[in-house]
Amino acid sequence: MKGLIIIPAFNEALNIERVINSIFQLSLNVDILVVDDGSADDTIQIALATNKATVLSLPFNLGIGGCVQTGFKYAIINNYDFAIQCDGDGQHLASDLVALIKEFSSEDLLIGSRFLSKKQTGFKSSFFRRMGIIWFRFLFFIFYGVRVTDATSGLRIYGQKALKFLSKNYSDDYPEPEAIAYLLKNNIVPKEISVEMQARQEGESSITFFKSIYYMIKVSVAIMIWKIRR
Amino acid sequence: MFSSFIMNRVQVVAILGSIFLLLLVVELIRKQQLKEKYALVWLFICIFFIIVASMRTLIQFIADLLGIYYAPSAFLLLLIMGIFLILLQFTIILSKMKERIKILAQEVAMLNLVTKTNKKNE
Repeated sequence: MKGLIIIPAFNEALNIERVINSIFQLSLNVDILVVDDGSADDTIQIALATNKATVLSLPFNLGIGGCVQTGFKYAIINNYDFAIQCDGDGQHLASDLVALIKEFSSEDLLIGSRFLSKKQTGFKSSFFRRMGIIWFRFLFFIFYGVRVTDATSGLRIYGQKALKFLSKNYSDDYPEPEAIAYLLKNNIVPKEISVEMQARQEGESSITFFKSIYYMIKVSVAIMIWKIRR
Repeated sequence: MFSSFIMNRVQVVAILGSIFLLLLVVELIRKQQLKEKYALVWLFICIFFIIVASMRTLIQFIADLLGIYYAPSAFLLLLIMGIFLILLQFTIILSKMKERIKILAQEVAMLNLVTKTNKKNE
């Protein structure tokens, strides 16, 4: 099966080489695609110099959603069977990535969940973050009648059918939970497996306190709106 | 009834202002700075202004109909409603354009890769 790992990159000149190499070392037998989101630094040149990744460069900054969606479109055009988004911030444990790909057979959406197993995993999160995830769980159950334990997880595999839908419609910011709602609307039910995702090795999460308020409202509304959309 | 045909100063100013707006819109259409599709909305607004400005009883009639005591507030109400609708139209257009620009950028990124690879192969 032909797989693609999509790395969205915006001004990541300092990290991109390390990220590409760390994925390459896993020898997963998948292609690596870097989508540069209009970086002002040398992200493109450094990514190209590794000779291990295909590099797409957007003419201007589209934000994370539009950036990753470019990767989905690339995957569809080039006939990949599945695609994974990989943010190069060390949050995705290499072993999780390997486990996820190993588990994948031909599902349309396979999510690596941090909350599926009862035992304490290495992942620790703040009280508010946990509350948020429980809230999303509630929303998905009420509106779609499905159990999604970790809707915010970015560690997920999209199959061809899901990629086709998402290349048509993918939210600009914080797209992960909304993508599940959109796919559910199109009769694609996610399957979850347990992963151990480590806490961030370095750097701050992209979601700060004030942004998290916007995040909660925006994503909640989006999940509900997909239910009533035609 | 007769009084509605006698113009006072403010009415003259209002009519002149509306006509000026109409001429401005026509000129913008002529110079192709305004797409006909959106120009239509502005043309209707200009014509509405001219009608309202020249017929004082009309606005009084509308106010009575809506149960508004002070006639000019009926005019303001209509105006604000019109502005809201235009803003809504703008947001719709903006959303559509944003989506299209995004798609274009993504296509450009992929086409760039294709042409680069083709050059290498040649």
